[in-house]
Amino acid sequence: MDAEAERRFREFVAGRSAALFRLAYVLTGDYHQAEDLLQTALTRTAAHWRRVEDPDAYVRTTLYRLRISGWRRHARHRETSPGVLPERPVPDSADQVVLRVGMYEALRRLTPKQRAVLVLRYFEDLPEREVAEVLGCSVGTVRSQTARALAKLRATAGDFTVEEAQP
Amino acid sequence: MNLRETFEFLAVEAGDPPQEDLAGRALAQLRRDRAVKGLSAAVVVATAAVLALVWPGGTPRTPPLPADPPGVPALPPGHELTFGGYRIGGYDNPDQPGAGTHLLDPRTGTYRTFPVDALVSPDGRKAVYPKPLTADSETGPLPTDQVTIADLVTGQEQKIALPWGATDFAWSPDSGTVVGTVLSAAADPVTGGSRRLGFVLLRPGTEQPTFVPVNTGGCGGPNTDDAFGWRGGEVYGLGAGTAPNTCVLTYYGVDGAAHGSLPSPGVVMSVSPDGSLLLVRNLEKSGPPWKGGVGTRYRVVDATTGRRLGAFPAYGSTGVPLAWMDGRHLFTQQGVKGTRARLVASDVNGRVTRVLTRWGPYLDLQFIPVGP
Repeated sequence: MDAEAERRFREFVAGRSAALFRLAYVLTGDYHQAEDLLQTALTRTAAHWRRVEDPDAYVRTTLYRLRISGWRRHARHRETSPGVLPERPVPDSADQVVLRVGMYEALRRLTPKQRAVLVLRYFEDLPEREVAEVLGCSVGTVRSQTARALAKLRATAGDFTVEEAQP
Repeated sequence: MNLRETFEFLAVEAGDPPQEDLAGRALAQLRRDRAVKGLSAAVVVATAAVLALVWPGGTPRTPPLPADPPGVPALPPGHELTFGGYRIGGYDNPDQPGAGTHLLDPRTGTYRTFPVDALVSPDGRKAVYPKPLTADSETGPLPTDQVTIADLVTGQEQKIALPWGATDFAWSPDSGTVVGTVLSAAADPVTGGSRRLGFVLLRPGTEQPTFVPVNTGGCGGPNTDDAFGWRGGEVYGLGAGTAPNTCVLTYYGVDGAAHGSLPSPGVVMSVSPDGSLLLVRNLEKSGPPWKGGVGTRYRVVDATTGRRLGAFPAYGSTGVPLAWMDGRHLFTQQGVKGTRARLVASDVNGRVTRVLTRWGPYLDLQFIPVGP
């Protein structure tokens, strides 16, 4: 990477790292894994920087595809150490916190692909066709993964609502 | 509780990204990756000599680098360690997402790549892996309808059809049987999710799998798990207790007959080599203030009675236990902000009894049985 390309890459990362990190965190639910995931995605982006036309879209797609691929396999037996997390206030009531933590745990029990599908559908509001493009799978797979993920969430976390997503 | 709100709350909770120079780190990592690919065999040999000095408790195995498939760094850098019956390695393949599992054969120094996650048997001679997912197989209601058992010694493969579908496979300790979990295709009217119907047993060399119905009912809450596992020659699983919202851990014979049960001690992560102890995980209200006082705690309990024998500190940087090293010690990965990690041996209370590796890059570790 020449000096000019490196300057543009650094500029891009400085401007977009906060948003991309938030997405990585939503995908993983873990500060350390999010950091690791984003770092890996940025490294891959840097490797292909000359050919990348839309860096933001490229990194986002890479985040999703890394997450559902072999990256961080065997999560059941490989959890990250809690390490040191930034302290922040928790304004909710104890009940809300327990509900939310239950939801977090339920999300953690989904496969990376199921979680990614839900994030794309209900957080990023993408229609099924675009979800399929991002994940590199069929629309049918998106539908079945969504149904399975929601069923699994309900089985674990109990009742929750989902807003109608784009078909 | 709304799903979108949950994601939005997560996004807010994420806070600021690490303060370090992310771009600089990515560029540095890129340079390191490219440098690793260009390492000469001479450098690898020299590295192995150094590693042998700094890891006196382990057995560094350095593969000849030219034999590695492109883009697969051997981690920890350039070798595997052997401790307590396991080969331990960290593997990643950032250039081939979805390419599957890469197992290093220390005899040849070459990798064998499986198309999906592969699970190696305790004798180190076989691996089981599900059929790679395709659009067709994924649109069906069942996790997978076929697994392959690969003989790692001869290279022969045996495909076994699973008419009931199955997921969450696990090898028996004697490497003779694989258990898989069978879930219902239709949603359970009570829980709304898949209902566990029983387990399926697969035996290498036998084409016909055996389905064993186990009517346990599901139990809700965060401390539950559908998967069956092995404790010696028995299969264990979590199911609903007699009282509402309670779970029990039940041991079954391979015929599905219940041999005994105890109130669920939590999600079973692993069973000690002699089957007497369980490492379990609990989500409970004893966490750090920044997580609302809810955290994950690992405990070691008696497998028969459920009596608590040890507990890792509720939170902090003492590490995450990953696997049993022997009957009283666990492999534990300590990490600092996800960027550095090391492997230690700890007792059942999380106390470090031996440092196994130096601090290095954070890795997903695989514990591959060495075999007899």
